[in-house]
Amino acid sequence: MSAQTAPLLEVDGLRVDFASRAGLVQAINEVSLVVHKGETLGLVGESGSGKSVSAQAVMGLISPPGAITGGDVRWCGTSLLGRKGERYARSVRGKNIAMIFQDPMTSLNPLMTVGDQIGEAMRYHLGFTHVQARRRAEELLGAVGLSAPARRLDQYPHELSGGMRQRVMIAMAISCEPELLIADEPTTALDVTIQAQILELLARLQKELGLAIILITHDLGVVAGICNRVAVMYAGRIVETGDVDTIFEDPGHPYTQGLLRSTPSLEGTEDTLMSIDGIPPRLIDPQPGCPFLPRCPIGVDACRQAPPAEAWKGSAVRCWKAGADAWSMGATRAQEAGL
Amino acid sequence: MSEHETSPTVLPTLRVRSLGVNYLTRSKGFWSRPRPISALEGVSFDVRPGETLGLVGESGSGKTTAGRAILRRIDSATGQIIFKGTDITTLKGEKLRRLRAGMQLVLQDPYASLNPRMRILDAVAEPLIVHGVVKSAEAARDQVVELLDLVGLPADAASRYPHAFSGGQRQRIGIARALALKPDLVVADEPVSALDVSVRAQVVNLMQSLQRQLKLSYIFIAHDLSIVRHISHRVAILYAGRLVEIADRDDIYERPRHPYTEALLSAVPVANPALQRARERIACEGEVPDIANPQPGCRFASRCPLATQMCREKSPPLVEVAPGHSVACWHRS
Repeated sequence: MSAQTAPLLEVDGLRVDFASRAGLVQAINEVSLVVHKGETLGLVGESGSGKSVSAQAVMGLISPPGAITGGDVRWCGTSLLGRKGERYARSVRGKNIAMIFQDPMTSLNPLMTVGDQIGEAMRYHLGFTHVQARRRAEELLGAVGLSAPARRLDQYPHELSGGMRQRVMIAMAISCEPELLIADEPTTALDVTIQAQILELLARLQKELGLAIILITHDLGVVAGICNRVAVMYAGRIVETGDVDTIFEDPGHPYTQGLLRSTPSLEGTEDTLMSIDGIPPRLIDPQPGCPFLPRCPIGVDACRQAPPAEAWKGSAVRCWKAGADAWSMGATRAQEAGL
Repeated sequence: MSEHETSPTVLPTLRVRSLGVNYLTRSKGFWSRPRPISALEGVSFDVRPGETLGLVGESGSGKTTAGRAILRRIDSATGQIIFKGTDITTLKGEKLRRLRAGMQLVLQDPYASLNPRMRILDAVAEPLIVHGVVKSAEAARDQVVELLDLVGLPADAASRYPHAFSGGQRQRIGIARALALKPDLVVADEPVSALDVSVRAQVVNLMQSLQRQLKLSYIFIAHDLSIVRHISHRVAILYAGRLVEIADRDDIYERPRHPYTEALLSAVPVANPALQRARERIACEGEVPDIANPQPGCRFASRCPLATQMCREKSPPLVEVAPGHSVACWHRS
């Protein structure tokens, strides 16, 4: 997209550990991401893969027993970590970077009216008066497609449905005109027809406001619909990053390949679904080398050493055998679809 | 597919006729009387031996209610449930208890549905003890090990506790428990929606191979349309407590008739960027109506692009539009 301009957000070799009674849990390790203005990056992975922790680290939401123990997060070239970075981060988070969460039922304050919640960030970051904030909140509610916005201002979250609450969350997030929106599973708790409405809303806002979005999801269909680039996470590491079309047509990492083939298609052409045997590794005392090795059908001795990011058809793949057909079970999905 | 085609000689495992379920709710005020809310109305379908019926709908559509009413866990207000030729709608007491051996339930959340203080042996043997097949869990050990083997778990799993297992393994245990009494019908309520994609495929494949091996009938309740297409032979679509369309799997997905089915299918994102970007979504604005305050007419009328005055006044009946394909819509049947 806009590779020439300086990136908005750079995450560089980030590591987050959680202290637990059983030992140190390495939630994410060596996570590097770049987000440019106006693009949508999909962050994909299964539960425990570290996608939410990565987002929380960017938003400064990691609290004990968790801690950022390595790497850097930079906003427009300036670090958000360390004592000096923290002060800068407070002016950036909530204003330039905003976040929406998975569960609109629990992430709104049940004791505050919708209008007050939306206005809060504007009063803090933009110095709006109560009246100004209220007027702007009404505009925002209209912009996210809620009917009767003036009436909604004085309603409480329990009076709204799940889809409406997610719209309120989005209105809140865009209230200070952020440049980056981090959406952590924004539609997972919603029904499919409502999910389609919310995804359309995000795509429209992105176009209108020139917003960059990090979309965290486990649903490959959602990624295919609105993302430009994808980063696939497994066991706390990014195993593959690249352009969305390349990753879906020519996945380079055995895990990405397996994930795509174990997703049933709506066309229903497959007899048996391919499944990846085994389960993701525990993140306590991780083994050196590739974390996918125990489940990988083409693992070799070299995989006991952590693989570097290899270039493969324009993607970056952390695998010693990047691009090899790991699951030789007929043609891939993309080939079946005639692409 | 061919062995599941309609043949009048085969007795359906389950026959449901105009099933309706009401829930009681108390409106505001201390002295107010409870008022019935119709959560399910006029639902009819058959499930043949060895067949999977996918029951699809969004939250509040009544899919779980239908599953529970069929299993007689909740009482139905209207209609008939016929299991292997016997009307079980009003069975009570010992007869109802014995019936439960023939129809079992697999639940959604494998973390919440196993008792953390029971060994796997005790959990899987429990239905056998309750139904008097064995006297104690120890006496059932051989049977339990056999069941665990059937679902792909090692024999030593029997002496461990649920916390030692992952989500996918727990769901296998839930399936083993459901199969302990050799049921003919298994109602699986969102059995894979709590599982990760790569593990989900393992459980779906297991369910399919068990069906072939044991000639099981499934009612597969889900909201994930791609999984339903994969596992089902027939699919029923529910909306706000009514059955809007039922047909063979490929008919539903390739020739949907009801506007809601069309909207639902077009809203499912497919994991193919070029295809997904090019797809046109059929508009379905607004939200599911509140079933506590039902409007007359078709329940989908408020969101339907085809809705006319008639739709808002009279509820459309379920009409067979092609062999085995029924639709409840004034405009499409």
